[in-house]
Amino acid sequence: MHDRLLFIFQNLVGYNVSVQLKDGTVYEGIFHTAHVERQEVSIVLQMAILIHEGGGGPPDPNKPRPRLVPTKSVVLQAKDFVQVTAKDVALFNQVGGSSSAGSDLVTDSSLGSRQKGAGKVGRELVAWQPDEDDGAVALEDSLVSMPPPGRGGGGGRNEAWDQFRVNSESFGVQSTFDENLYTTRLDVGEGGISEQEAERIAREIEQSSTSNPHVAEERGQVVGLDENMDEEDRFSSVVRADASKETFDSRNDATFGDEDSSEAPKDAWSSGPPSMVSQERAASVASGSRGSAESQEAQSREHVRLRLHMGAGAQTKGKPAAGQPSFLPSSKWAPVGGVQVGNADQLQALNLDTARVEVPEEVYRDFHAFKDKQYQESAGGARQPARVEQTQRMRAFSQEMQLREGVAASAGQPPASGEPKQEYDVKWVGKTPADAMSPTASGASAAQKPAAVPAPASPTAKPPPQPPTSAAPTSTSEAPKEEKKSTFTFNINAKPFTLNVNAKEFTPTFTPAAPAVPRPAAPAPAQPPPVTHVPFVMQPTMPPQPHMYGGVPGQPMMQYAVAQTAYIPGHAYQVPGQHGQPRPPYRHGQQQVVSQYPPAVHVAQPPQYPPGTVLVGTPPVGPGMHPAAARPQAHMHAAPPPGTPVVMAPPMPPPPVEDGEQPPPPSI
Amino acid sequence: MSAWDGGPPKSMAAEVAFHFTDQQVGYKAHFRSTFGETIKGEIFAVDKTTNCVIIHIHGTQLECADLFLLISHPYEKGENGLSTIRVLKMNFVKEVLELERPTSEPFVLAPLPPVDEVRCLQRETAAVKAAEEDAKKIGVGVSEVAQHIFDGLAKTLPCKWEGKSIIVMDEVVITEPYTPEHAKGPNQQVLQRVQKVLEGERQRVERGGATI
Repeated sequence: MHDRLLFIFQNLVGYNVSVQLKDGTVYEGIFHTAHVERQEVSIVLQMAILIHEGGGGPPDPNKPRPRLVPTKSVVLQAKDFVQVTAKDVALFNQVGGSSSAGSDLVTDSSLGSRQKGAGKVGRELVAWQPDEDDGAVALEDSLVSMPPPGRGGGGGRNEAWDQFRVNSESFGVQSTFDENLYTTRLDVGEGGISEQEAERIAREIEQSSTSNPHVAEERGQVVGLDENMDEEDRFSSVVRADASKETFDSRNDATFGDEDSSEAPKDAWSSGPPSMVSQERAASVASGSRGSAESQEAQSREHVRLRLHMGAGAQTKGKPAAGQPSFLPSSKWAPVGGVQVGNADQLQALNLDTARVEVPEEVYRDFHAFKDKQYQESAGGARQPARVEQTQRMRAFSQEMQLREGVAASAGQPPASGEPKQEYDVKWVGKTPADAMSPTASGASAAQKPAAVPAPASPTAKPPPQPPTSAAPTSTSEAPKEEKKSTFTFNINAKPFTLNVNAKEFTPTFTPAAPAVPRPAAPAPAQPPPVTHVPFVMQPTMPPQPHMYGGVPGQPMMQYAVAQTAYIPGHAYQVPGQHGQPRPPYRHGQQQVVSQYPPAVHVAQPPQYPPGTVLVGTPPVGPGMHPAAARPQAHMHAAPPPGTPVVMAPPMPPPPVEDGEQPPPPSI
Repeated sequence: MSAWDGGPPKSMAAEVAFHFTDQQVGYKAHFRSTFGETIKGEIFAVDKTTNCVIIHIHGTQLECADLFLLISHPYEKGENGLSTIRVLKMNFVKEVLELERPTSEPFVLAPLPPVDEVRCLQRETAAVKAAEEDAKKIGVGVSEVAQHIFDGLAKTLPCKWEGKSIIVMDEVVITEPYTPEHAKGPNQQVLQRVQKVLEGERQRVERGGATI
């Protein structure tokens, strides 16, 4: 434990600490060092001051830090020492902490509070009073008063403060400022009323009382202070003239509405039956033939009417509570202003639930009938819906793929295995048009009955299913009735496909024997492409990478080794991670060579140089490999000599060393 | 550090000299010292050789003056990565009020990070320099009023004490009564400026205004 104590003392160097002694004396200063000796700890402080004299009671917490001249260095004896307290210590930020020289981040409060010892607690605030300078006025007084009559050209002159006058008096500066150079000349006589008349009217207005608290405040008429009025209401919030009459929506009429909207408020006031409103609404939805702009407008009018109606409903029930800011919706019990949540009709009419499309029954039926008709017409016809075509194309494609892969092993087996496969397949195949047509599919959950055979059915060939009203889940399952047998089955043992985001775009340039086609990721089902069929091409004329031997064994070997692991010569090209196999172990310090393709490094083998190369120095361990990644020699021999395009041989098992060995942990 | 195999019970009877043990590192302790001060924090270390216990309190405490205010202020958990450290001789632990085991078991002490000595020394030199600067602003043997005047001046003008006189901008010397008449300096403009400011400061101080 002693080390922890020392750790603390080491860290405290430079911090401002308080040290308390046996008799209660407290010193405060910068911790310089601590001397630990058996049971005794002595502390040395720099620039220390005596905070509290010992002998008395505990120090007064409210006493500010005294301003004393600090003593350069204070040694506090071990026998006296009781405790050390250090505040604001960044204890565990030592390593890699903020930049040197303490903290660059100096806050205002830290700057200010050091001085007076007043600390961070608020200080006594005193309202500002102007000094007795001439011309200075208190805040409340107005600096600007009405310009004296007849002095149109004066510009800015008034009795209280005239800057030009003051300027000329104090500094003898003659001003040539003429207001009319900058603005239209004001002719006082043009007003139509005399000056006195204007003044009188102005005075009248200003003296009049008002109910608006803000205006009253400005006029200096002290508003009876309501307890419910907080500062916001007093000074900042907008006071509506009459909240009951004017909701913000009513203004929409002016913007959007036409003549009949002006009657809307009246309607609202008369509390028309809500059922009328909802009927209107339904009608507007059902008649989808209206132009969109029109219906928008109608809808907005609806909204207005509804809201007003509801607002009115609220209003008739109660006035705003006394003292409540009048602009707030006044209903006492409705959480949201004005809306009677309990009133289901009204709520319904708001049509808030946009996620669920509510369509009347007959509309629904009509629609589906229409669709059915459409398909029937095109059933045998040339034109198929684009969707169907696409699905067909995809199916054909996948069939091709499967055939090529020769997964005909399980050909002919009906996918009798369990639900999950089928469901999956159904999803992949996508919604067949048949599915789309059946009403159950459109709104239903995953209760789609899986197409019994995942085979590419072409349901378009068969007539569309029965009328939508009948729950006909079997419609799709009949799809393959007339279909050719598919040889596709799910390979349970297939490795799951995971997308390797780091994989580089692959462009095959040379496909001698590999029949495989690069498969697009999207329609690919879970079955990953088998390893063997990914062509891997090396550029035939790859100059051997010069290797440095002996000198710097680390780097180039590592470089090599990285490529080694990324592209294992003679092996199937395994995209790391794509097949669920572990990635080549990431060796510390090595770069992941994912962006090298074609590999810049002579991948095939380490040093196989064209004859004639003189090797200098000792060859590295093994065949030029990273020692930890040393591959068995056999591995090397399997590879063809350089210069030949490396065609993927049947895959070899990955070197067992790959997974087991780890490089020695790097030492920093 | 042996594994935890039961520590002391949660509440302890009052003992005159309660010794924490090695085992209790990481515990949250709440105890009272012989000075009557209540301390609450995490036990960082217990050192038998020196008979010290080190308490680590997370966050900084916002208090005005000094450590004894902790009695009245609850510990504020400031999340700024700073902490308070108290090194306390175990003789002065009067009574343990509460001892709480760490919530995560087993409790493994993290190895101590290396100490950045350079940073510590830099911090120290910076602090010492700042303290010296501050020290220069304190007049020795001057009245409080004078000190206030000085502080006011120092806000906008560089000042320092010299005995009982204030030297402003290394030019103007203001002697004892610290009135504008007693300010002397070669440069008229500077002098006038200083006099004006001084006058303002005096008035403010006399009026008892805030001097922050």
